[in-house]
Amino acid sequence: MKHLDSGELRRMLDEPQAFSDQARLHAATCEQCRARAAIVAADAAHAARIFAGEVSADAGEAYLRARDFVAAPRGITRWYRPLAAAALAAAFVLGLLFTPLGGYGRSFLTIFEPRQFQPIEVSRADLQDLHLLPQADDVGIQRVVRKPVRQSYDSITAAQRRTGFAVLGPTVLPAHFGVVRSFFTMAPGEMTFTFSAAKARAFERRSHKSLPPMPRALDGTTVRLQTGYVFNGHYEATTSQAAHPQTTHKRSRGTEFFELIEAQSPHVTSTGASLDTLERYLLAMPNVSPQLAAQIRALGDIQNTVPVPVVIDKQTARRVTVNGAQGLAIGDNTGLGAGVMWEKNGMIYVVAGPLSMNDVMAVANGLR
Amino acid sequence: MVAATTLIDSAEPAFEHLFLDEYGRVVSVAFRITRDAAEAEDVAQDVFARFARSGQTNFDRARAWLYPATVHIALNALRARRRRSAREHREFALRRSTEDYAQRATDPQSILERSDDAALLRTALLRIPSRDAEILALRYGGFSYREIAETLGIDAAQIGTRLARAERALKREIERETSR
Repeated sequence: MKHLDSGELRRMLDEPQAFSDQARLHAATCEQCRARAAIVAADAAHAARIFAGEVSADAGEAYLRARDFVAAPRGITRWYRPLAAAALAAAFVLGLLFTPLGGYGRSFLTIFEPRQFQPIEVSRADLQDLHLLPQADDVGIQRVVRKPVRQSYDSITAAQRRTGFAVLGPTVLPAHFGVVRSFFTMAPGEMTFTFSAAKARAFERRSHKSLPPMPRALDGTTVRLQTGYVFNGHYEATTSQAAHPQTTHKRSRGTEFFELIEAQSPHVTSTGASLDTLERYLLAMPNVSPQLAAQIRALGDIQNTVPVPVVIDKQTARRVTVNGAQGLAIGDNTGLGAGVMWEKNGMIYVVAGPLSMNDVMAVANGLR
Repeated sequence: MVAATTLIDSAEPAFEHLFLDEYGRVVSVAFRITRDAAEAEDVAQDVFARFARSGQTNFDRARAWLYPATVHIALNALRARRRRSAREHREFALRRSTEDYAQRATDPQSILERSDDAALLRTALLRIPSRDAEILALRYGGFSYREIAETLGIDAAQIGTRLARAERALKREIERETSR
């Protein structure tokens, strides 16, 4: 009889009845098999010892807790809407905060134009810490030069007349989608932020917190963010619930939807300090973890890269090809939501929602 | 997709049945990873809540969803715990002088904590491939070979091989950790 492999030897420890008498006899008498079985048994005994332990749980009581938890009101949007707006959020917020930080300090005037998306792993602790960062108003002066105006439309065609660019519409929709939808545009906007050492010092006195000393060259530097037209399509599934007004409350939590965003790439310009200086200052802020700072520094083409935060134990990120362009797909670990973003010909596209990754990718690839 | 509330309303008996049948084992599998009973129950609650929200209607295949999800969520809980610990350690270390730190490194309590089986296991489980952690958690959580095969959708004949490989990897990681 042929020798038993390690898998068979392992199973024989737990379920000897799964083997024939001949196999058991061989395992008991073959020196070679016995030697290997001893190693397998030692590993198994080690694992059994270290995994040992009992835990008791009251399923009935736990069910009541689970039921309350599951049925509790909870926004279905979770992170999908923020993700759907990632092209904007990333470019507007992270772009403003981090984009001038990379090694692009050679020029006096810096222009940021997103061309690609780069995932940055953040933990929930990182996110909590970032909330503790000083507000922009604490270290400088914000000014809205031109506020983006939102407008709704009945059709893509009407929205397209406003944006001036060719809006792509989905040719593929997940099952049940297609009737409930709405379209919006955002007009171009402009915002400036000017660093102020005096304000930073006032914040330190007021809050008793320490900030990194603002370099003299940074004091007075202005960062300017300019956004172009943005199109937003909101698509909902037509469910039986949606057809019944009395179930509105449930529908608000239960309806499937996805967001489609098409935006002209924003521009960020900076005057004054070099971007190396900006980088050193902002990444030295308290509550920016060393890991996060290292990831920001490690971004390659910072002038054209949008860092997209991916929560380590909640989301996953992978590179994908969408409509012939390189994109970044973000998925919820549970498979309950997904989003994809990419840049093509000066436009940023995002498709996201509480759908499967397959559905989101099908919509994205079907844009025409 | 079916909303959680919809699922609870329309399929509550099936969900309740599933919950009462599987909750104990979900906790047991989670406990193999977290080594903390309360954390294992938290993981189990999270697993069932996610299942309800996932809109799954095929309860016959629920176990194939529940247990891989349990392992995944429990491992994520470990990662979160490790990051918290690392952060606390960093902040703590910054506040201590080098001398204090050296003293702490040889402190018997510190050595005891490092050698703690639960801590070793948690560290090792994050270092071995997740599919190894998965099969170990299922097997030592009380699953038979047939149940593991059904849950993971693989041939029962492969379970022994994968289990032996996982146990080997686990032992190697733990030995490496204890030899530091």
